[in-house]
Amino acid sequence: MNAIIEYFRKLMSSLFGSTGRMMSCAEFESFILDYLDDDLTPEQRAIFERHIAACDACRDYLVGYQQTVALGQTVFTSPEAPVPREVPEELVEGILKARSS
Amino acid sequence: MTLVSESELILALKRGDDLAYERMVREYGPRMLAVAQRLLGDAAEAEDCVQEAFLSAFRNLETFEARSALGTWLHRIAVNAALAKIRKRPAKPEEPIDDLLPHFDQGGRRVDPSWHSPLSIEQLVAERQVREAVAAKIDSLPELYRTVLLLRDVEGLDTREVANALNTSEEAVKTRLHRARAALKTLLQPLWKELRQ
Repeated sequence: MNAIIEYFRKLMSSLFGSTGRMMSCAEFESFILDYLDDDLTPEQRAIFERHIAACDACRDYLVGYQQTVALGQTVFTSPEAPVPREVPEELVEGILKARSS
Repeated sequence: MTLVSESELILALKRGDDLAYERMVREYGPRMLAVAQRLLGDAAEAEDCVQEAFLSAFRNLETFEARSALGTWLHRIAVNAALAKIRKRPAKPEEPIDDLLPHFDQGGRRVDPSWHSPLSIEQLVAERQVREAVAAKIDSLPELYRTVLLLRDVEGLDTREVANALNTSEEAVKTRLHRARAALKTLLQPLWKELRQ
């Protein structure tokens, strides 16, 4: 565990140095998934959120990304999700026949 | 036979009632077919998957203890049957989707068009046109990306479960999931223009 923490500390240090410089949009992109999964360290999260606060393009991108995820989640689970009206008759017969054989 | 509740159906199934089996297939089959079709992307393979899922359910009915709804239990069996089929498929080379991923200039600044969806998520999902478009765009993603997105975002499996189900690493799952979401976002972008017109 300590090795992982040390790895991330070095990674973040190499990316942002100790001066707290802003991450680029490309760097921001690579942290989106972990940010939404709440898998960033407090330090990483702070750097990520500093970029959101300063960058309109990434703030807008993140909103679109989150809405895309939400749409994907809800489109198949809503009561109006596309579902075939019925199972083809041959399949029903095949399943019931296989049961009795 | 008139069955008025799921618990009665389950009792009839456990008694071996033929009509109860038929009712289960007709009532729960369509949703199982939908999830199999989504995951497998092939109608014939999806039907095969549903048949295997039902036969597995029949064999295991005695162990069903109604801790979850019958539909939820069957859904899970259908997902597992589809995953078993996916695992048996020969490995395919990863199809590039770079054109659908975000773009940056030489200074690492984002150059994507802005998102600006015209409606809230609730309003968007209420629009039939949007639901059909989202489903179609997900279906159009290359298999490796579509499967990961469906398992994580739709079926609610966590990263480790998806990695185990697909015999791959958690890092590969995370990379594919992020790319799948980014690609889907790009594919949905033109829809907002249509909705505004």
